[in-house]
Amino acid sequence: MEVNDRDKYLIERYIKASLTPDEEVEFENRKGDTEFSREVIFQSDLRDAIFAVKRDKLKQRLKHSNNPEASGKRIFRLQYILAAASIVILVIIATVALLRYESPNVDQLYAEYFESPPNIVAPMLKSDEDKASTYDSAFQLYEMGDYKKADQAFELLRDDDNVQFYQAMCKLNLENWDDAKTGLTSIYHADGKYSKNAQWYIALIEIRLGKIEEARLSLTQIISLKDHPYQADAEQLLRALNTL
Amino acid sequence: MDKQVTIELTHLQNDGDIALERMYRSYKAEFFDFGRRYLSSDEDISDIYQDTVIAMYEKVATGQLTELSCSVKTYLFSIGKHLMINRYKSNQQVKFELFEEVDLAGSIDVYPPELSLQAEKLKTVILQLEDGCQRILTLYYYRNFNMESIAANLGYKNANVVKSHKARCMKRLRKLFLSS
Repeated sequence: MEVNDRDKYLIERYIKASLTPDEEVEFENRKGDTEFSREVIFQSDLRDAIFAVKRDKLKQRLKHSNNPEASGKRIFRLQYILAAASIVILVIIATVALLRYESPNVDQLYAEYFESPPNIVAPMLKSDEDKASTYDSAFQLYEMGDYKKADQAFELLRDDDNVQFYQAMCKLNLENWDDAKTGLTSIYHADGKYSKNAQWYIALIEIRLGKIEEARLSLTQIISLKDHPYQADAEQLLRALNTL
Repeated sequence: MDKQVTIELTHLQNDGDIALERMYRSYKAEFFDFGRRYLSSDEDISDIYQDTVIAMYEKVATGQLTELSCSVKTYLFSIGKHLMINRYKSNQQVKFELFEEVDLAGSIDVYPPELSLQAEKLKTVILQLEDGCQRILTLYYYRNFNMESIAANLGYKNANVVKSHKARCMKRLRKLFLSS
């Protein structure tokens, strides 16, 4: 027998461990059906897989959380011994990096921290496929990753906060750094709903362009704002930047 | 429940990954001191500490842990102790003589389940989905959010938009799964 809407409801409740006693009986009775059981196993495996993916991501995040105090007292003692040598080495590295104006690691840092924001303005819906407005189409091109066409489509739209920000994101994805930064700077100064997002992406562009001092300043500004959504990321990135 | 414990649990529940990292930093040095009583390798302690923090976060994020009768630190360290015992079983390098002090009763279920072959395959497929889909599925399965909460969290117009988006994501996931 096919899995029907009621089955889907029961499986969903089972996965979320929220079956009522009556539903539990119904669920047990349905388990004899092969298709039902197969879907239960699929959904359970999917849940386990999502947990595993999330754990891996969190673990990576914690591994990169490079807190100098975190390694404990043994390393702290070692730091005393190596402090003078480290300072000299860091000064040399910093000087070389500044003279070259671009560190070979900035590309990696940028790649690690840059994440194109999802299209939350006009997400694609199956029912919209044939009747999407010009406005929605531009965002859907963005969602599909066709940044060149999305950029052109945004160009034809009336400027609002969404259009300005997502057009800047297109330029960023197209690695058109100067135009992206100009757009984002204007968004930042307008102090609208994307102002803080723009501030974060400006810092990333500065890193990508090897403008380390400017990036440090931008990140420090982000960190100083308590409610900034990128505060933790900025702290982490600044620490990583300081190790270059 | 102690006010400080309530605050820490609420932060973990609401602020997610950011609060996780804050908690990780808060107790790390002390956990290392604690861990060195049992294990000789800092690398192992670091690895276990990460698993410990993630295990506690998972319990809070999924709603399994909403209150504590002890401090966050005590709870965290008891998870860590169990994980260290587990590590001991697979690694003879630990300072095993100290384990006699450990109370094995009432062990805390913190070990992730072994993934089935299908789940391993799904894990690969999930990573091929676009970020938006990954976010929706994570909030739905991992955080146990309903459609309204996902809409509010990700800035979608309403629950119906999320429902449609999730259905499209599942369709794509099944397609990728069958073709992998």
